[in-house]
Amino acid sequence: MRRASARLGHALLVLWGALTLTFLALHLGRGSVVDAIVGNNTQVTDEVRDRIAREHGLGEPLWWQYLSYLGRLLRADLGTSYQLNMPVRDAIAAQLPPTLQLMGAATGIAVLTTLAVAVATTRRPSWIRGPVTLLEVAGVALPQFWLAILLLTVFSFGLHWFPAFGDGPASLVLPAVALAVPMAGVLSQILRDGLERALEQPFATTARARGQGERGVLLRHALRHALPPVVTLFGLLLGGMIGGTVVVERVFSRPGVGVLLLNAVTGKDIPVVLGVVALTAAGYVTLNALVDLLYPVLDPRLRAAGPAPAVPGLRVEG
Amino acid sequence: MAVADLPSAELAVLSRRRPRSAGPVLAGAFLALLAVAMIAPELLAPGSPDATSTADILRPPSADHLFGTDQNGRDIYRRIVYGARDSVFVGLAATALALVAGVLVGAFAALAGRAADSAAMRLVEVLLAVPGMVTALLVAAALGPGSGTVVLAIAVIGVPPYARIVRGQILRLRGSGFVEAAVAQGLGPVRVAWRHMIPNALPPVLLLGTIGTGAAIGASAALSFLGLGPRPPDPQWGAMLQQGQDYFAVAWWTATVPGVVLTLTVLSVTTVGQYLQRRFEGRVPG
Amino acid sequence: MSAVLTVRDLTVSFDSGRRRVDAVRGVSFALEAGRCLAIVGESGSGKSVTARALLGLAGDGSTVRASTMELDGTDLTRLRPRQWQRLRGRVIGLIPQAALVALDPLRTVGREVAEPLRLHRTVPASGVGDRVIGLLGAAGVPAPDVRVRQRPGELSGGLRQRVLIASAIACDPRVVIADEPTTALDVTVQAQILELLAGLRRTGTAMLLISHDLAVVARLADEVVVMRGGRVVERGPTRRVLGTPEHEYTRMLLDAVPGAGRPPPLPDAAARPVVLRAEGLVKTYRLPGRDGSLRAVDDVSLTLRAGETLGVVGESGSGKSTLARLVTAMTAPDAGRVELLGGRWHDLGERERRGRRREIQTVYQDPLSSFDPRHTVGRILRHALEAAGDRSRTVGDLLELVGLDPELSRRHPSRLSGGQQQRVAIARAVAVRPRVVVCDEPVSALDVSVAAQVLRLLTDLQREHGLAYLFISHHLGVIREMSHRVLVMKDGRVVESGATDEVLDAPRHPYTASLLASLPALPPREPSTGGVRSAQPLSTS
Repeated sequence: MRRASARLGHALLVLWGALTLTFLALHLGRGSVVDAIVGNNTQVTDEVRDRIAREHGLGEPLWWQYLSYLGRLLRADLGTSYQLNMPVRDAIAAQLPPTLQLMGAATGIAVLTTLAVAVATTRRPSWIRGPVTLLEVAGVALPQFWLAILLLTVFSFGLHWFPAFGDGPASLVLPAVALAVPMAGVLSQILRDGLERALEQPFATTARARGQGERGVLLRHALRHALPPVVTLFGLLLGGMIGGTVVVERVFSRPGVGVLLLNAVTGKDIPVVLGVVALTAAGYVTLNALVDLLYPVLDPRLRAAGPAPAVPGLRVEG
Repeated sequence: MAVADLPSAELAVLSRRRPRSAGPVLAGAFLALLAVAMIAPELLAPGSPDATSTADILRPPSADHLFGTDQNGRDIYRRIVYGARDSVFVGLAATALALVAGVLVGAFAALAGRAADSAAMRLVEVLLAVPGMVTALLVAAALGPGSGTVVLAIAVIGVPPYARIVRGQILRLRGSGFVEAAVAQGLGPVRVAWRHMIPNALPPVLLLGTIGTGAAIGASAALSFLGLGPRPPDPQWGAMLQQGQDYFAVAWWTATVPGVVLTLTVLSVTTVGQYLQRRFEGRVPG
Repeated sequence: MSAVLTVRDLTVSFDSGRRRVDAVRGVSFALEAGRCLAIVGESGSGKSVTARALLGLAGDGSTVRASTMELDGTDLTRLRPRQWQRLRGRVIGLIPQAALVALDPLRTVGREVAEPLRLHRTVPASGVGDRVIGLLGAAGVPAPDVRVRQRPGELSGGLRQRVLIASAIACDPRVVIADEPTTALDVTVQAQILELLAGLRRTGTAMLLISHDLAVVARLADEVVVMRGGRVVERGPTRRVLGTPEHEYTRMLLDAVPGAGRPPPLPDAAARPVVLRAEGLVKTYRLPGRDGSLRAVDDVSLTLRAGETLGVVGESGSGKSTLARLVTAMTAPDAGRVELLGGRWHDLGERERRGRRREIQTVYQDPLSSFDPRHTVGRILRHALEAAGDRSRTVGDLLELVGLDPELSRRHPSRLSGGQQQRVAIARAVAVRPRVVVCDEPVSALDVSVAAQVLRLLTDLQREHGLAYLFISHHLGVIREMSHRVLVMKDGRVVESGATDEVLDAPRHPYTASLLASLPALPPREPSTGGVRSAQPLSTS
């Protein structure tokens, strides 16, 4: 119970830190917010500008704006978009489903590919592993937006296998693959490495000596040992995937939170940016809390771990 | 962006136990060519990269225009060569910046006591909690588009992995037998750090930096693609890709050429980085 | 009676691409039901590879050849992987050393023991649970119905070894291979495990025992095969081979078993200056996870005089190593005091202490981890000489001092053998001209013949330089051979102390007595063959 509340407090601290930094970055950055709201319209009088500033509380001192934003946040009020003239909550709610669909599909593809590729290539001769590893490295190295363009061109414009745009399930395939490739490329390498190391452990020999076959040793023993680092990394890479949606949604002209964020950042639509940051940071924190909870399930040993003794005289106490 | 988001230990795993191949040699040759393009582009491509020609709009690759021309009739080959400096330099500068900042934050966290450690690590976590691309966009929005913006944006998202690996290395080394043995011989903290901690902690960080440079080059192109890089008409691969995408259907080479060059660059840097790591691990046994 | 396992001309070679290594060359033996055959040898002798080859698990890149390899009527030389799987665990079982990860640390003990039962379906699925509990009970695991749900990390080394035995005999195999089944166990636990294995033999199971430990072999085996460099150098009934060894290598092995020698006498011991004094030392560690704490060292006092060796003996968890860290001021005591050379030590500021640290040095069990992996032997020793400000000696002098070739200075320690590494560690310790050296299990990881040489080196250095040793070991034989006086530790406390021969020959504390009683003994050597050594029981663990 005490651990759970400490966890929650820690999560809120990280969330608050993320929002504060974002708030400062947006307000202290170049360019006036009012200019951004007004846009290219040169006809606007000073009167109108003043009214806009008053409406959004932009005339107040920064610390007051900051505190009142936090105050509203506590009441689950994310504010109103400067650009879209609608509550931020509604704007995000409208864009969230397509993004979640996209990320869900991408995650599924990445996880299945990872498991299949890693299990199929563990302890295989180098003529099988070599090409697969090259593909994995290329998948990580390939700039994601370029991969997206490539997929779009080849499979949509070229081969007409999948529709380029639209909102059917078929149109989800290419953007999801573009998002999944870097993740799968990393995870399958990590998983295979973990499997191979687990297979060299003494307990694997013990299992073989009981009559367990190679496949059985791999699936019943090694897999569980190889999973924890993969799960940690999965949590971290999901954060990267949120970033990836910005690019992929843009290339495939899909609606979604990524494009919403991109437009809000370029248009200085501060409430929307803060709203999206709050959402992604909360998602990240929740997800990693789940990963932490999953750890003891995967590895019961983690319930007890001792600190390593430090050598005296090397710690400058501060 | 994937690699920039990786924790360091896993990155190290990514480059272990690869079969021997001609890859590093090819990658090295490509990087050498790239270095020439960055230092003296006129050697590889005489003429101005911004010279337009209304007669030669969207020409396919030919003997005259190796990689074809773009929507303004500019020679794509020339723009690729001249764009190398900006495209690659941004990645290098961002990585160097991230590395220095990460080493300082990580060493501070590991050595300056419990309070400093938890403060520094919370900061790192905040940076991790906001996806790299979002952070980069925020930095870009705060500073306005330009090369400096891209460098800073990518440097900021690169800090957490370096900070974490340096902190982990120092903590690991501080509990190690050979550091204890040095303390037992009466060595003070400064000499222990100089003789044992820094030489053992730094190489993995530098190698991570090599691999991270590849990711940073890719990320900088992505930011340019999103319109946050240097303003046109400066040649920049990401920006060329973005403009080329609009003409893709009628002129495939416009987006294909910068994309392929960019991919080859990232792959080459990654390959060389992994090769160096392997060599390094092979040379120091234990 | 006919043999259940026959091996003739077994050869195992490893091909690592560049070079071929013959690990086993032409080994032959036969094993009958209810008998125990031991293969003894030091590391690199090929004994473990032989065992693995019999299970079809010699490993990647290995080639196994034999003119005959027959197990219970099955020809093992031409088996396919699936056929091997059907034999392993059912006809031939393996009891490995109870290392922490010899059992899958993520699975419960029950599932581990049940694995062979489910694979070979020797009992119906509904009966597996009961059978597992029965097997654990038979292997001497207390409260087996509770233990089945625990994981290996929650068990002691002895219990893990019992679980491994239960799992190996689950399907009543005809042959069991026990590979170092008591290594790394405390002596009292070792005695119980040996008893269990002896009982297993009486049920008619044939046992192939792989061990480096001659006393364990003496306790269990009917016959012995001595291997060296992949070849059999001597074979015969256990009593004959250990009593009247014919091959010089066997004789050397027997002579190297520590416990027969005694440290050189220490004249006028009481008049020598006290170099290290500890009084009432206490160190408590908080246990992770729970709200408990552990008194690792509890009210320990000791005095060590110049030129003397004080042995500290105890089983794992007795607080020996924590005591070493306390007297070297690597960790601070919660209570009590330490004086070095008659001056303040534990309560000095780190800055002041730094100038005096050279006076007390440590030699660790695992020397490799105490060397910077980036440094060569030469650089390591040069740093030590610099630390002492010693210009009169060179790295070459130090290497010669510990009996190493000066040429080794260009090598990295990881390229040296275990014995060479420990010699470098000793050279580094004596380079700074200490008065006290703490030896923390310095020979536990070494083969007996190498260990004997390292112990001799330590004795020589003590004589030449008047060093005082605080000598920590779990091994009573090593303690007896090295120590003038001894402390017996249990659960952080000193239960008995005094002159070594008095304590070990006439223990007053029941714990000391039980330690001594648990030691397996070698059979008496017949004076006509060895000649030099007395026939008294030699101790080892």
